[in-house]
Amino acid sequence: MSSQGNDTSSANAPPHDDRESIPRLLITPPSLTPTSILPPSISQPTLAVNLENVSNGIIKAIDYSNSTPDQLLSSGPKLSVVSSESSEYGVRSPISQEEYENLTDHFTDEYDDNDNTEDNEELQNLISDIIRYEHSHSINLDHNNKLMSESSYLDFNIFPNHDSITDELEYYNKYIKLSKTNNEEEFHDKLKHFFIFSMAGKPIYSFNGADELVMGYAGILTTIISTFEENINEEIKSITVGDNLKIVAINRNPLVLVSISSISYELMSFSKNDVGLEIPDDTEQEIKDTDNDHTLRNNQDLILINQLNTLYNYLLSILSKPVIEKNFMNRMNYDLRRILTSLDFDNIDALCMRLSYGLPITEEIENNLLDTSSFDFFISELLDSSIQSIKITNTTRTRLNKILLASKKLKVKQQQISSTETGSTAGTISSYFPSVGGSTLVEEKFLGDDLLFSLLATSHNNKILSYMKPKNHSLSNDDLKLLLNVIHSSQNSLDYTEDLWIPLCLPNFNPNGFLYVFVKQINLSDYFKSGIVVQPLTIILISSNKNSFYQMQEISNYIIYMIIKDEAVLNTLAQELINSSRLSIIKDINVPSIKHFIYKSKKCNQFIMNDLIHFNNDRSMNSLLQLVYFYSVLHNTKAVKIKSRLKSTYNQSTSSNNQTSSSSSFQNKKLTYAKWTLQDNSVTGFMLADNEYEFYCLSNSSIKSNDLINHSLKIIKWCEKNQKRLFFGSGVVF
Amino acid sequence: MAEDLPNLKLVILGESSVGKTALVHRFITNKFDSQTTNTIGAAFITKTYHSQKDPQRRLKLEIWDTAGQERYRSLTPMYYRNAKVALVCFDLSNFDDTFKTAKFWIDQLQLNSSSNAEDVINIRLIGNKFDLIESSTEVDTVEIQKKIDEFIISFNTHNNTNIRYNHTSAKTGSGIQELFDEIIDDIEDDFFTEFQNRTTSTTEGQIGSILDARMNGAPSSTCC
Repeated sequence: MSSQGNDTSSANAPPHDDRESIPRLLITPPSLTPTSILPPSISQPTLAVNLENVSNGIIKAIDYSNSTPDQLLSSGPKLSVVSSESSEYGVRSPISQEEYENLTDHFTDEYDDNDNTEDNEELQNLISDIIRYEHSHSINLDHNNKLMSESSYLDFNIFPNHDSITDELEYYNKYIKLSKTNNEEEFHDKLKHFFIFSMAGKPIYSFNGADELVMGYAGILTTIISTFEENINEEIKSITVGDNLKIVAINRNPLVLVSISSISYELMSFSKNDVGLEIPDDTEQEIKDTDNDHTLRNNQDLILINQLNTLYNYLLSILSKPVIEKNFMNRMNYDLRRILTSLDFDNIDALCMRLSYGLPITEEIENNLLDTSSFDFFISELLDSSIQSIKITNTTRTRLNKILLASKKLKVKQQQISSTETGSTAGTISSYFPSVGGSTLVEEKFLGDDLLFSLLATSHNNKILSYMKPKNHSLSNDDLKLLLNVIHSSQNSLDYTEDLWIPLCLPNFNPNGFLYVFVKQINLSDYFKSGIVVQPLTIILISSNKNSFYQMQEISNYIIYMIIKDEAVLNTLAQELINSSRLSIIKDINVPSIKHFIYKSKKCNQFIMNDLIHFNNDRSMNSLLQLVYFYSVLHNTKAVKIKSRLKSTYNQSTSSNNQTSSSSSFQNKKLTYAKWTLQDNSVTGFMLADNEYEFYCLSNSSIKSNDLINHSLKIIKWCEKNQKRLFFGSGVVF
Repeated sequence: MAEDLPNLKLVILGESSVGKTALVHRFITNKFDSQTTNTIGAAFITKTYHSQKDPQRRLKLEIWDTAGQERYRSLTPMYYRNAKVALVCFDLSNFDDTFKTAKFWIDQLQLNSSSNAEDVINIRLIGNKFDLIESSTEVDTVEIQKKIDEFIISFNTHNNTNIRYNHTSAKTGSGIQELFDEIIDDIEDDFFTEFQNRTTSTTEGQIGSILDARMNGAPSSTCC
């Protein structure tokens, strides 16, 4: 099998050199010649990777703290070199720490009423330096007001393109689109592969290629992996072929998961470790670096490892660990596919496509208004499993939280329960939470004894409105995503409502057991006579008892009743849902030069971003792939660290307590600036992070540095101010 | 609130991909979707229905559409517990494999059936995807019918049951309404009269009383 494969592929591929030994057996697409896959091109991003590419001149932007945004926009702030006396705010300050503190203290006092000014200053300096440096190297920036839609994802050399295909769809069909055929050439063309094998080398899943085709590779890959483990006693992690191809494997005995990628943004070394890390001072940092050498090396494979873990977690969620192990225990040669359904394979296909490209699996990829849930998923994975909420007022969220909490505490008289036919099935055992006996009447019991978690989410895009959890447990974001994903995939688009009862293992919560998920959709539109169309909501109730369906159903009825019973409340909720689906932050807060942004709250590990449509006036594959690439680069590039004073209020309190505290009063800020320049067009990317947030945005390159920073800070400030509306936080606790 | 009607619990069992969900969709919406996804766990659907012969025989059907995969079997007893009717489905176009599972479920139901005459579950064997074999020359329909008849006769005589067979097509809709009409018409009159008597004595439903008890707990601030 494998030797046949080689014959065919080498016939198509250009002659190979010394690298043939291992990798050629695995994958030899014609496009992967030993020569560089990414030719030196105009579109390689200029990255603010370190300060070396920042010129020495300290540049200070105009102080605009007293001017209105409008003035700024019309006047177009200019860069100007400032004299050395202001250089204490610059990056390469020659002055001592103490002096610095004094100066900044003074500075803070002076601008006490505008806590962003200080940040602005420093950022301005830094970014201006970077931009000025770059300016001398790049083409004319001034006539760049074109829409980005004129550029194609192919212009950015995101993917290897050796036959120089210029048609976006043609490229997609050849290199990206899922193909399950037995055609070897088609198989080798694909940029991304995922495989799941059993330890015995039996294929369970392959992203591309028919079974017969994959069989040979399964044997080779599992042999390599097990040879390494037996001989070197070390788990194999990755094989890198030049700069252009990486093979990553994880061993989850009895399963092996493998990913092969030649996608540029997945091969970048990954600096995730770096973002948000508290760095005390330089000497300690050095020690840390050597300690982390090993982990840092592994981090280079982290993108692909995370993807494989997501696939593995999916398998766990539907089967659970003991079921997988039990089946293989008796027969090493067991075929796991026997207990998987076609829905499972569809779900894994969709996951692979989302993880790699942020694209949906759809026949209508030409559609300019694609469903963006796959893109949402990609960004969520990129941002360390951060999840999205939906913008509603804090009052409404609190009200919904209270309803969930009240439903957990519903009591029901024992007699009533036994009078219904379901009563006898209701187990009273609740190992997790013994009923809190406030008024323990003998005949009363809690309807929600077995209820662990409750969620209210939008049905179409799985955004969470409200969340209830027990005191001692919580669901990880990975588990939540998995849950929402499975629910979404099992909901048929129906004209009627059905209640689902889904056994699901949430691997981070407990990989060894199942929880039981009650799912019901509320079609809010049904409750309006006026014909208002509101997106439906989904009630998700997670129980520890497999026989508690009818109790969960009662609880859901109560939740629905509480939501709809007060017309004013219902109207408010509907209006807020409608508004949030039309949310246009960029317009609302007047930052026209920023085309797209992401704001992530680190505390909640939740994020918000604006609609894809604002980037390019469409939601096409082209725009989507560009964003996937830009944000991957911004996120995975090592950021420049800058030190910034904490906001004045914190400052005052710390300095009154302890004058000598030095590094603790600094907030670590980091930034990345990237620019992709095409002949007639370019894109500027900007990342700013501190201990509270990560902010990413994209703009066209004509943006002035002042605007970029000013507008970014404006969005950040808006997000901070609206924190409670944008994020559901840690939910309500019972 | 919906009108007060007697509830009839009905469970649908059978091997995966025999068309259980499609059958329910056809019955509820009179539509067919070839893209129906695998059911995970089970789905609970209610529908108010009355027999075409006798509109007085009106009830609320509570349908459990279960997943066919083996991995969900441990959950199934919860679905058929207290069920009045079980539709055990198989795929006429994939007879041998799916009929075996159908027999398994019939045995299970029989094993778990109560000796109490009132709780006896009414089993119907459903051969779905009739459209696929109707005009097929490859499938020996006579042979299949013979096997079905033999099984039913032998099972009924051994167990003193009254299992009956229907063939349906969720795709064309043939046999679906007839099936549900037969189910309703089969119900003894006692089921309806008893319900009438009960509703006149107890006025309040369970949900109502819970909701009343919790009424005053609703928060109602409007700031922010």
